[in-house]
Amino acid sequence: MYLQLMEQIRRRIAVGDWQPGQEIPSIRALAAATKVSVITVKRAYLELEREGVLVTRQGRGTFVASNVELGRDLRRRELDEHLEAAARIAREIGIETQELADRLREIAERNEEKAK
Amino acid sequence: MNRYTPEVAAAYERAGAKVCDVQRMTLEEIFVANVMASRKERENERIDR
Amino acid sequence: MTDRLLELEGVRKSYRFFTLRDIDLRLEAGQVMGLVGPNGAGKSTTIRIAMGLTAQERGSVRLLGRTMPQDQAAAKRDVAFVSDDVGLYSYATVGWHMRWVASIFPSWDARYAEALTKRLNLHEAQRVKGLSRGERVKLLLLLALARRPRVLVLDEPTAGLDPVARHEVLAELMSVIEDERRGILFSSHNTQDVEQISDCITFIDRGAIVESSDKETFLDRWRRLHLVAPTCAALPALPGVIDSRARVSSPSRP
Repeated sequence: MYLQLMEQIRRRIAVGDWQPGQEIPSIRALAAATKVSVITVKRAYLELEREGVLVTRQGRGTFVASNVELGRDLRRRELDEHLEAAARIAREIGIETQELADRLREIAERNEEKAK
Repeated sequence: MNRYTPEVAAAYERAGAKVCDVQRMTLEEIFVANVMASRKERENERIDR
Repeated sequence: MTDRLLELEGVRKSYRFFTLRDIDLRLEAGQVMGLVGPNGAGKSTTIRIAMGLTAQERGSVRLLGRTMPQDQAAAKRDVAFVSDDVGLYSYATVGWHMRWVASIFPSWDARYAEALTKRLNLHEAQRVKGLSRGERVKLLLLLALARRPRVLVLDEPTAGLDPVARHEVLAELMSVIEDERRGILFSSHNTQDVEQISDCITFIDRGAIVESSDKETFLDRWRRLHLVAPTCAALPALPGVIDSRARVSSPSRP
C-alpha cells in the first residue's frame, strides 16, 4: 500500500500538482484525506525522502525537493519500471529481446497512426 | 523490499528447487493462508489421536 | 513520549467450548489498531473485555490508565463504543438520540454533531425504525464521535455496509486520528479495511494472538514464494513456513 501511495505522490509531482519546493500536507492530514493509515503515509514519505523526492525540515514540515528536473526524472523512472516489467514477461514466455524491440516499435507506430 | 532476507529463497535453491517468484502478500492473503494452515494442523491432530 | 490508551496483559477468559488466552495488546495515542480473525476467533470477546463489559478471569486491562472492569465508569467518560449490541430506541428519532447522548456526556460537541449529520446524510427527524443497517451504523458512529472521545472502540463497523456508507465511515474514522491524542480500536472481517486504515494489526485465531505488530512490519514479514521443485520431499523444513497446496508462503525473519 505504501508503494501505491509513493506512486500517487510521484505522479502528483510529475504532473505539477505539487511544485518543487512546495510544502505538502502533514502526515496526519494526508492520511485523513486519502483514508490511508498514518503509518503507511509515514513510510511513503520516508522512502521518498530517501529517494530525494521529498525533504523534511525539522519542525517546519515536508516539502517537494527543489530539483526542477524532478518531474521528468520521475516520468523516466516510471517508464523504466514498465519496460522492466515488459522485459520480464517477455523472458517468461520466451520472447527474444529483438522480437520484443520489434513489437514495441510496431505498437509505437500504431499509436502514432491513431493519434493522427 | 530490502528488508526481505533472501535466506529463505537461498535455502530452497540449495535444496534443488527453483524460486520463480517472490511476492508481497496482502493482509487478505496472509489471513487466508494462516487460517487454512491452522485448520489443517487441527485436522492432523485429530487424525493422530 | 508515547501515551498508552489501552493495554491488555495476559488476559484469559474461558467458556465451555472456547478459551481466549494470553491476550496482550497495546493501543498508543494517535494510532488505529485493527483486530482481524475468522468468526469465533475471539475478536468480540477481546473487545468486550477491553470495554469492561465482560470480566477477564486472569490478566490485567487498563483503559486510559484505569483498571478494568472495576473503574469502568470513570474510564468511559472518554471512551466510546460502537457495536450492534449498543441499543437504539426504534421509535425515537435521530435527533432524540442526539439530545439524549448530549444530556449524559458534557463533552458533546453540538456543532460537530450537526456537521456529522450532514456529512453522513442523516436527518434529525428520521425514526430509527425506518433506518437501513448502514444508516444505523452511521447514527451510532455520530453519537460516539460527537462526544469527542479519546478512545473509540468499534466492533465490525463496516460489516454489511454498501460501498458508499463504508467509505463515509472510514473517512470519519481517519478524521478522528488527525488529532494525535486519540486512538481507535476496531475489529473487522474486512481485511481490506484493516489494511487500509490500521497502524497496527492484531491477528487472532482460535482464542489466541497469532501476531500483533505495526502494519508495515506485519506485511513486510510475509512473502509468497513460487517454487518449482523436482521432488517436494527434498525441500527443507524452514521455520515459519506455511504450505498451502502448490503455494508456499513464508514470513522472512528480519
